Amino acid sequence: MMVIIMRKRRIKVSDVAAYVVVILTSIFFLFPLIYFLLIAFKHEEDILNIFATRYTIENFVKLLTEGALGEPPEAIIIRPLLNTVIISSTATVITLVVSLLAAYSVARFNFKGKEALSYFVLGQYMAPPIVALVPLWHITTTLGLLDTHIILIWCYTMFGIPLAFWMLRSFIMTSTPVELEEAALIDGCSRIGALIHVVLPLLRPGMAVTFILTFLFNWNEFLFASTLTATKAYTITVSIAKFGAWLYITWTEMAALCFITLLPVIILAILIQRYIVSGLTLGAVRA
Amino acid sequence: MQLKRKNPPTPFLLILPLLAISLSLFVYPLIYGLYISFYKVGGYYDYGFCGLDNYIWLVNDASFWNSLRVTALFIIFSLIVEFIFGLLLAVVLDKITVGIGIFRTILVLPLATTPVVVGLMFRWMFDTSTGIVNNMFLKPLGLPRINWLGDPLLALITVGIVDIWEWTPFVALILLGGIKGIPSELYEAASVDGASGFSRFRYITWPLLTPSILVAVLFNFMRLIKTYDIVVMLTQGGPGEATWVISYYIYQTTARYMHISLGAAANQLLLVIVMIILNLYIMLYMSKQFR
Repeated sequence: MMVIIMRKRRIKVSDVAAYVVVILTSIFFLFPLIYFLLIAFKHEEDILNIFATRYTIENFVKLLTEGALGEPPEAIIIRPLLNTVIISSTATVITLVVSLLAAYSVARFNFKGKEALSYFVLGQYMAPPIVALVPLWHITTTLGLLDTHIILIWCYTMFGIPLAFWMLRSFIMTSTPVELEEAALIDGCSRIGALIHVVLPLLRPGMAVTFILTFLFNWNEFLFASTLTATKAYTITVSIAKFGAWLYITWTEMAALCFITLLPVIILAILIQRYIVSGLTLGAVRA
Repeated sequence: MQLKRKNPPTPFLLILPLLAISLSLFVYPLIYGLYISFYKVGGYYDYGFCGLDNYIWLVNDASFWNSLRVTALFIIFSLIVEFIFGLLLAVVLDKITVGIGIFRTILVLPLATTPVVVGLMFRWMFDTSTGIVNNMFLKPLGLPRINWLGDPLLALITVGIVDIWEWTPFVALILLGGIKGIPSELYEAASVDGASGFSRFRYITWPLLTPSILVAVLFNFMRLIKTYDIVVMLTQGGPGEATWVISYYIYQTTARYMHISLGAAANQLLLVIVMIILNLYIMLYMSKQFR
């Protein structure tokens, strides 16, 4: 009897300890985000305190009507946000279409070099992006594509491919039974027809997850956006970096800008929370 | 499972778009970069073919060696701390049943957060005079203000700390997946045999977790070598060249000083280094997994 009671108590103590540790670490990971984003709702004089007595949306109104740091709202937030939405979503759609076709091909056909293709795509993920930057920059200037949407869409498509390809490949292999397609083919459906009418409906959740993940990383991209754009096609991350590098920043407005940038990211991350790690490891870790 | 091939060209047609994009934006730049690294070409000059001059210049460049040293220090520091914290966190998370979804969501947020925002956020928090770290945490303890981003070694550690904040959850969640995959019968059997908590970890969790550990370290390394955004936002490479990670060095050489072929040569050296490390690592991975 004693032994049972002892064991029960020991388990409980360790459980409580586990919860305490996890709650403390959660605070460690959440605190900087909440603290920084709350600044967006504070008055200038309250920004050094963790909690303010009064909150305001004045910073957002100011950012959207007067702009910040002597820049009009058009330059600091509206144009970059628009650019980011256009570039990220177009690149994501192209990435998905291209990767879906290739992933389908690799998952369903036997052909020479299909393993090589998968590893080639993996290599694309492993190489540091800076390696492609130097020649790309040169190519871009030669083609006259500097500071255009096209070049960033093209680059983001290239960077999105490894994640999308490996994710979709594993989704196709696990969630779409090959028998259904065979039946469709026997009924006179074409290959592409089978892909569109049989595979795609089954793949909808997988496509959604891949879409959101790819979009998220496109949204966050900075290195290429900052190098290949100047005054027209720059994205929101470039805007933050450019104005955040100033010595005297109005932190309230900067935080408001960051808040607007982060809002879609956080919503999307919460939506697909289970798949983020799986995506970042190209499916090496199961969701 | 594979379908029988009906019309032979289909698989090739399907991979064609992907190949077109990868060849144009990945393979072609790589070849072009290799080619141009043997020429003396920059933004304002073009002296034609120069053989190995760029490589010789790099090997003699103190800044280049400094950036390699900084990168190595940064990677080793972050990799080790993130691994230890990640492992501890994973072991603890494994015990949690109620509310695990909420905790997982919280953990995912740092790694989805825009890196540029992460950098700016911590630059604000680590600021010497107004930053919350000095004012809120050190001051009440009676500790002096620390110049987090102004001291050479400390600046690198601070960049490391920011990376740890952002990416420890990544390691933790990979390892948690691994721990969840270990059959619980093993632990029950060990308990019956009277194994202590530590020996259960040492003789069951650790060996069975090895594949996950290798995956976590591999992907974390590949990610760390790409580090650029948070350095730009936190320190801009400073003070001096104390936080010039390799990506930052190449960026400066190419885009700032316009020494395009020098940057290309540095790229080739970086690629070779990464390839050697990854190959060694994958050999280790294979030998562990198929032992």
